[in-house]
Amino acid sequence: MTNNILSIGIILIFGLLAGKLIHKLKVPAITAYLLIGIAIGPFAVNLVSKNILDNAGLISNIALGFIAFSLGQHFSFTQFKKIGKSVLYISLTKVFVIWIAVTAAVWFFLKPPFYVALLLGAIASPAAPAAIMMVIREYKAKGTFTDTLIGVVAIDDAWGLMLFAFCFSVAKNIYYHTAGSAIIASITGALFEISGALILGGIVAWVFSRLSRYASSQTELLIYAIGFVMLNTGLALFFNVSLLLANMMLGAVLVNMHRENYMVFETIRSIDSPLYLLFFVLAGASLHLGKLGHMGLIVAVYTLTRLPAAILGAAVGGFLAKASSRITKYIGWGLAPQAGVALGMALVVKSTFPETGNFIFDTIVVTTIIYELIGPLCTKFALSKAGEI
Amino acid sequence: MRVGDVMQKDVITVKRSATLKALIEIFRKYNFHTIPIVEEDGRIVGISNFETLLKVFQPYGSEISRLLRPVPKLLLDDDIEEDIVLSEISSDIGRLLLVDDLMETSFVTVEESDSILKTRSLMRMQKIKQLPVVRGDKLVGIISLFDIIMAVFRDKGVI
Repeated sequence: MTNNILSIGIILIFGLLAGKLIHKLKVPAITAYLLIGIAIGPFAVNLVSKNILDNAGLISNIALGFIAFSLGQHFSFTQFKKIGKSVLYISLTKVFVIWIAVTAAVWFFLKPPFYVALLLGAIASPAAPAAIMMVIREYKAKGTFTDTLIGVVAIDDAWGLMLFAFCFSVAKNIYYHTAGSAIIASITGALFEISGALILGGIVAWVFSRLSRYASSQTELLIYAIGFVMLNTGLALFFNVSLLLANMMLGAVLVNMHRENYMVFETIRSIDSPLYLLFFVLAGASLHLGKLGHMGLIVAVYTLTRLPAAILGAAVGGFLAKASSRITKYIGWGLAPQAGVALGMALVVKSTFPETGNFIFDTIVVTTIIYELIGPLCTKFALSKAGEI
Repeated sequence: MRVGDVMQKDVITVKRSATLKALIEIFRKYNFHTIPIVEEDGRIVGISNFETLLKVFQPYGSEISRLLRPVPKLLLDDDIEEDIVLSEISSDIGRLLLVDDLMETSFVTVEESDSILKTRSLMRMQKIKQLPVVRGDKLVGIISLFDIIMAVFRDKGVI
């Protein structure tokens, strides 16, 4: 029962204070933002305006656009060559196996429309850097296992977001093409969304690079950077192509174009936190607490599939990269926490699929809270078994 | 006015194999803000400044820090840098850590033929006061904000 601007003020201030308070209890800040969102949302004290909640999808699109842009930096040719084989293989196979396993399990046990299972599988794939880093720092873990774990956590969000972007395009096309030629129309539609996004991101990056030379101060560069990410996101929405891939492409092309472009990412990094805080709190506020009682089966299937899949996927990667047996056996446990980008993906899904979006979103919020509680214990178990704490 | 007219040609450089202790000594002795890291053949491969010394206090190596850089701060809970006053580091670190572990590999350079105006604008944009000057990828000098100010003063007849 409040206006939009007041809601944003309350979200930022309460979110930050709650984050700091709960941080002292050794709980990752993102969980704190989620909980404060639930507390100030419509099912509790109701301090968030309906208008803001209705537009949570828009805010998530913008926030995820910025995250995708930032993660695009991973695809710098010079840096990419330096990523160790273990980090590369483990991150890829872990994301891929979780996706396959969660999609299959959800589809087998709950028989939802296929695109719902596909989306849940993709959202399940990335880990939560904050929770994992918190355990590493708390126990002062050090060594090869810890280094590999941090490396995987760093790049894992990029693979997860890319996979989600593909699945999201496929899901949207399945959802909107239910007639006879559904499969072909879905595939061609998804291919258009993906290739169109890559072309758009490339063109916007080229224009950005041509124009950024006119920026003569950091303030101007910041304005250019925000403007171009928003322009790219808006154009992606306008042309109905994947905004995540378009922004990842924008980041990837910029980072490879000129060495000086690293400043673009640094300037954005200095101001993007309030945007992310806003969308984590909104994720909590958007949760349908009343429906949680009916979600036992999906939460159980999702939770019980994701962890074993992470362990198996990471082990396959470790085996292929010929990593040490400690890494192969335990690194999957270390990657258990789920939060961050998964919530953003779920909010975007919620706003795109009116009939099934709420189901997917509620599942992800509940399982995120579960995984934020048990995940750090799994990470600690992994570090301790690896002998690095 | 061009960079080549104003830059300093005698540059203190270090090799990537130099130890942290040697690097600190150079900072202390010459009071430079930026020290280029060069290969045997003169190619510049990185720079080191006071800020790069902060990496000593990070709990993990520079490759890992580089990998974490694209991850938004809020997804990492922000503070990947240790509080330098509170952090525990061993005294061995001075000889165990190498410049290669600490140097910054993302950096900006200018060429001798570049204008002073462009160089000043780059310095303002990057919030730095010294820039390596290169010919191709070989280091040929260094230009500082002080060099530019002096050149302008000279040009205007102030000094």
